[in-house]
Amino acid sequence: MTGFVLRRLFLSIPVIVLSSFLVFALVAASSDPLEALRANPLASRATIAEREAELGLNKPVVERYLDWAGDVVRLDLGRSYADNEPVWDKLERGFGVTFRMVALSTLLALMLAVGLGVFSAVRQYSVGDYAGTFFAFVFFSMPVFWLAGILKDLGIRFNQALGKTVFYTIGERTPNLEGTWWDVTANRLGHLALPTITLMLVTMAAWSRYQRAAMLDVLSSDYVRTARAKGLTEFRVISKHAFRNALIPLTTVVAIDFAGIVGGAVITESVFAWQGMGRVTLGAINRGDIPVVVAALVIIAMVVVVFNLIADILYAVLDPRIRNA
Amino acid sequence: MRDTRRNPWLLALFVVLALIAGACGSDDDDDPTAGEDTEEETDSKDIEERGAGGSLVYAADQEPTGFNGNTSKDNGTSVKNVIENLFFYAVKATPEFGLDYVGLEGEPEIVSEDPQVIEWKIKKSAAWDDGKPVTTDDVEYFYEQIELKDPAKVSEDNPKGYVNDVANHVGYEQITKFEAVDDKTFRVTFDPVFADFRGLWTDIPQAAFMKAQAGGWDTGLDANPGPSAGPYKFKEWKKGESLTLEKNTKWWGEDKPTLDTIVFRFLPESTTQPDALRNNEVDMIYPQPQLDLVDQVEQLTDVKSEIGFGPVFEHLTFNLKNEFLKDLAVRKAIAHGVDRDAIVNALMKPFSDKAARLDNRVLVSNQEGYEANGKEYQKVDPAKAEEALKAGGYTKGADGFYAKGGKKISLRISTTAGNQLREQQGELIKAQLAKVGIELRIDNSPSTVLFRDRLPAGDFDIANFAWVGSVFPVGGAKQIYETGSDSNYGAYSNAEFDKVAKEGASELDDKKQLELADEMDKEMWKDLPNLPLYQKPTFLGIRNQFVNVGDNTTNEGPFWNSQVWGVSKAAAA
Repeated sequence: MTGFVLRRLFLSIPVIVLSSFLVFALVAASSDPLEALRANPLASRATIAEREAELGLNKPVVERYLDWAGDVVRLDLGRSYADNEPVWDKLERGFGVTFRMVALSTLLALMLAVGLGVFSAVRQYSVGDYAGTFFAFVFFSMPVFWLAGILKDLGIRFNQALGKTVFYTIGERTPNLEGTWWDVTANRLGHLALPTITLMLVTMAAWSRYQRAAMLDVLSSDYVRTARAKGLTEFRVISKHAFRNALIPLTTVVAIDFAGIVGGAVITESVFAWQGMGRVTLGAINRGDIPVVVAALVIIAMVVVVFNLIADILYAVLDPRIRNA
Repeated sequence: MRDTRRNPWLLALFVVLALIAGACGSDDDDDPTAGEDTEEETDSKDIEERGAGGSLVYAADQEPTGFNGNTSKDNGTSVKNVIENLFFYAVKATPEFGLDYVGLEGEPEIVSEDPQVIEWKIKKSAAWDDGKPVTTDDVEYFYEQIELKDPAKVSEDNPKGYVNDVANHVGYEQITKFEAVDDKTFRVTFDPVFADFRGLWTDIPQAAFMKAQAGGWDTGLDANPGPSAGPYKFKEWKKGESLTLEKNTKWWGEDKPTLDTIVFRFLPESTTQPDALRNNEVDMIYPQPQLDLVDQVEQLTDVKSEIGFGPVFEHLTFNLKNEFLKDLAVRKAIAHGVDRDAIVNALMKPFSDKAARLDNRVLVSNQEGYEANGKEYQKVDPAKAEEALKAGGYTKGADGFYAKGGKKISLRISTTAGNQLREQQGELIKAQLAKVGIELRIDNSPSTVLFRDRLPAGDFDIANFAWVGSVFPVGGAKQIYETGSDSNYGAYSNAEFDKVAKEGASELDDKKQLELADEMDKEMWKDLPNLPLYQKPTFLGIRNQFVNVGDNTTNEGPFWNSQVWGVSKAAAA
């Protein structure tokens, strides 16, 4: 097992190195951290050249990449071109924000998706199954920004009807809020509600389909028929024999998807103005802030690798056939 | 078991249907009074009475990058909007493009014209909120840091050996002597003459604070601006979220601030701003205007909004190295053939009826001394355009395009790709010029490529981008149009213009200088190195309960007079 984990991690290194170089080169070619300065007629060419030299923009891309990589090996991610903040601080903050935004919604989406998927499979072709299928596809195909826009509008209408702000549309808290622990918590929850519902609906929609398919698959398998033939109660058949086995495929899907979400639920972050990983990265791409972009990419890539690994390990843990093979 | 499972389903179904119904019905029950208050003018000259306290939340397009607005890193509006409330300003521009010597005892005095010696007197009452007075030391340290040189730093990229990161040296590099007369008075000698001296000494942080920072000039103010000499002081910066300023109770100015706090909330996606306004999460927005955004804000009954026309103007720059464009006849034909009014009507009038063509490339229309020059080009005239081409020896081919010596006039028009308005503009101009027999080919690039690679290298024929007007128009125009200047992308060169520009840059009388500015423009209408189109709109939305908040459409922006902002008496009661 340890050998398997180490081999997998080792194999991911060239992928990360190559992708970081590609991103470095692409961002260097396509965006310019000194754009605003160049548009300023009072900034002379000497000033611009001086700044370019200071940031190392005048060197060839390969040399810049090697400089950067050398620092990274020494565990120094460098500083942002835009505001000179250490890159690590920026990313750490971004991860925190994204995590706070997606953790709850992922948990809720998972629980609802499993419930809905199992229900739909057990009551296949019932009204409930059709309704579940219908809404799963509605939310699955709905653009996130549109769904978020509708939820914002409803939230604001609710506030206006109540004459009090319950739902907030931007950020994760009201600046400089003073009050009791309860006020602060309510404020946080009021900010969290809409993005959580948005992400939850969208993720749940997809996951419930996986769960439904897995459950249907299991329900038609031989061992379930055997269990029924043994005279077990339907509840026992479903909960013990079918349900557990039907969780295996979803586990891997969730582990892999979660890595993607942590990498940036960029649309949800933008619509609700949470400065999370996706928005930090996107902003940095637009400004040509290479140290931030490449570090973000490398870390996101590592998260994806690790979560894929976790998915594989979980698979082995849940399914003895794989473990022993 | 069956029943308990079905009920939540029905509930869920109901909730979702309600969601959809709510969303579909969102348009028809908007307030009937919407749009009533949209064209209201915010007059900032007379200070309305204010109630005590209040907090204003501003939706900032961008997070500041630090606080030293004179470095190239922090030389942007996101920083300016914050430090405008904090630092020492000898002078600020008024919305009428005049000057208000906020930090001085009076206008700086011309002690001698040759050599040029100017004396500034800092206001006696001017002080930092830590109790120290604002002195000549603060100004002198600021100047020294900007011009700090080290022979060891001299290189090809840095010919003068500057030590610090400074966005622009204009004016400071002409200073030959800085003399502190006393704590509040200093004399500066310029050589060569610097006519725009009245605009010097802005965004000055406290010298003592900066000296104490390990990062010094370049990065010492990255996280904290230090003591305040403005109406507000720095309280807290939560990165990625908000920045808070609080009232400076020791502010020495005449009008005392009443707001407890001004909060900058970072909302880079301007599409989130109308909802945030509507939901009382922000009180003031100042985004790049876009039609649907303006519409949405104008629907809000408790928000007043204002469209202004800022100093930023769109124009077409001609590359005079191009084989066709170097011919004045072709440039004349283009100036006659482009229907600037039609462009304004199509793209700008939807924002405001006041949108208009700009007929001057040195002065903007809301500026003292502005003249609508280039009379013969004010109305589109396809006949004259074709006449100009014929007079230049061009003949119309069978395809309807003019040619000379077998070569058809075919030019690239380039602008910033992805900017919809400019892309439409390019298409309009292409269609207009096709009518007078000049072929244009659209050749847009992302702004990065356009500004970094193409314009400085002269890799364009006609470029559409924007320049910024200024309270000090001569210095700016000289920088853009003088022979061999860095920003003179079209390689314009006219000895007569250079002479007037030089004269303007050394004219110490501001009235006479404005006349020379106008003359510079008239000179350029003869040569047509470019064609000004229109000034870009600005858009300010502010909740009704706030008073005295208004745009300043010079480069100053809306924060220029934050000391008089407040909540109305009615709202405070």
